[in-house]
Amino acid sequence: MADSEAALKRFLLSNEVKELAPSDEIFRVNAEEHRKLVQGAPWSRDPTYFKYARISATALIKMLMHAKSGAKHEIMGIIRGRILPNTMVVTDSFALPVEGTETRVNAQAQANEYMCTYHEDSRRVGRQDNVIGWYHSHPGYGCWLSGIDVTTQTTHQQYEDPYLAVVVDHVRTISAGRVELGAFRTYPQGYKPADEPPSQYQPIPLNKIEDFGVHCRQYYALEVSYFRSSLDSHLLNRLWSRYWVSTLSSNTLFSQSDYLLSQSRDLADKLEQAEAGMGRQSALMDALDSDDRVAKLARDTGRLVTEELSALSGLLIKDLLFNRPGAKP
Amino acid sequence: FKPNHICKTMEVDASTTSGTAAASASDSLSAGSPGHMAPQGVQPSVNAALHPLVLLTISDHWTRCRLQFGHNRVLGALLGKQEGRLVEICNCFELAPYFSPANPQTADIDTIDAGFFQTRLAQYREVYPSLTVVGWYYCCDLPEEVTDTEAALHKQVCDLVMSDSPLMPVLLRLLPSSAATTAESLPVRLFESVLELVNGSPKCLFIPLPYSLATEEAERIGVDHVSRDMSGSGGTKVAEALAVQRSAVRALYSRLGLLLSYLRDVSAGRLPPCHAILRDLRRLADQLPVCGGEDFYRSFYRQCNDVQLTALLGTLIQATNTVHQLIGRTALLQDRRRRGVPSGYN
Repeated sequence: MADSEAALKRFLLSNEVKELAPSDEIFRVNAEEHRKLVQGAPWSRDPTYFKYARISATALIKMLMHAKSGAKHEIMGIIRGRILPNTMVVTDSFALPVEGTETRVNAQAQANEYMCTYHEDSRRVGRQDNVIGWYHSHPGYGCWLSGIDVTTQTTHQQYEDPYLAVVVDHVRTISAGRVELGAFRTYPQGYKPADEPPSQYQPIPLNKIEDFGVHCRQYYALEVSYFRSSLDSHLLNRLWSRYWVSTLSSNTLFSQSDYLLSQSRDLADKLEQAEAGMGRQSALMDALDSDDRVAKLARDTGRLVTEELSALSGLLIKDLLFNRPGAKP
Repeated sequence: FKPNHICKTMEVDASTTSGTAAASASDSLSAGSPGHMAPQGVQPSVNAALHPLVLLTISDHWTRCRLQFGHNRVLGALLGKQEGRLVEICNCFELAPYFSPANPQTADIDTIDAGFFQTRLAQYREVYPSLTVVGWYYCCDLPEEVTDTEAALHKQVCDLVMSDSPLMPVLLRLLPSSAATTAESLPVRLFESVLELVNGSPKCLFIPLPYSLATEEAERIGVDHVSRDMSGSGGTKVAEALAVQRSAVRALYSRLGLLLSYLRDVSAGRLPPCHAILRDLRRLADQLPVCGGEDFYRSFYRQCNDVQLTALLGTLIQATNTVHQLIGRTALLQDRRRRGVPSGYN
């Protein structure tokens, strides 16, 4: 008992005197530098000034959970943080009680009062960051900006820059087993990007593909990375000591059966469409174009098959472990 | 020595019913306990499930308070659902200390601002209508006993919450300093509070509450992703998924190793046998194979066939695409030859 008390005192003492762990530095607000950067406004001269987005662990999980609570409905919320040279740092997010973000521009105007009160109150509990963006979810159809999203974001960037748009897809997250999140900024009207950065391919359902195609050149994606504080790291390491049970016991084929089924159906539709387009003579040469329908279909199918097989491999592992004691694989 | 949960399903500890607990508590309380803890042997009446989101939010709050404010008074409200005997803690928000109008510069950190609490609660209710306040959290490093400050704050929370819901709030305590040590378990303690008559006046007593981690697929994947590596992932998707499974299996293996070494020690006489543990182990071994029988295998193989059918479809489409590209190239060559453009090998 005496040992642990002494150790505790030593720990507290060393924590007061020493520097913070390097991973905690990002939480420290340097008001002077920040003000200089904001006043300089380098993003008004260079539309692709912001290249990186760093999102805190808390903000990520909050966004995912909010998206999950909305199930099939799109939800939206506000993100808070600050800016560093070339980077937007997201430290927190909160939800807005708004519906129908994909049907009207600037749906968040409805929740303005909510947002203002929430934001002001938050200063009293130590959240000194400003609003730097918004997030919304695309349940099941990927992380990209639709036409309405592009318009909303362009308006925000005009009046409230620096602003960031984050899109999260919780359905694909669960199905693929990895976080599907994208951070975007739109180009100003009439701006033509000098070089086309290769965007990461993702399958889009047939009914949304036109919306995607029309607008996909009007915005660019920032490179996303996540950060956590030292206490977060410790907690997360400990969490794993209990969480591994749920990793083993999760069964994606069951829980995601709706989504997987709808993806298969979508593939069937795309196949029919590709077949219909085969009749023309010039279609033969289209094969060499990498945007060709059949090539895209092949990629989409590849992705669906990978997801299903990964889910199945989980089941097979469990079968081997628990159902065949003594068997050598 | 406690066995961790190694069954596939999350078994929550079966506690004794609350009926007997209340009876025994009132008996032993007549002696008058000086602290705020309920006497030993009193069982909690609810089971708690905790979401990792709550832990991360609290840790974020604590880190910010350390950096920006002087005081260490990190507290907030816990939101969740209660169904019967299960309390699920889903979300949380911070609470502000009270700034009295007479002295607006310094915060009276021993009082909770009720107005702030009500507004925040109303805001959260708009977005998550199914959540209610189930408790509050506090960060401090002291061991098991509940301190006087905590008890005073708890009373305030009770007053704020009681009009809203009939349940007694739960206290969650995070111990930030012990997080840095190499102990295995989570540095979180949950206490359930009961209102008991002590020496004629009602007093809140606290019972330590065992908790389990609530799981939600999206949350689990997010937590997993953040805890592993921050930089962009290398390797293919299949490799990543398999790597996650592998680390889970490795954790299972290490737990089993622990149990095996315990059994060896007991049979060699080095450790005294604990019958409860041995009974649990026996029950576990009897449960293997976990799912067996004709029906299970029939539907399992059917599902495997379905997935492999999709894989076959995928391969067919890939093959079709390759043929399609071949035809395209042939057509291009023919077209050039027809038009008299030198094809490059004549």
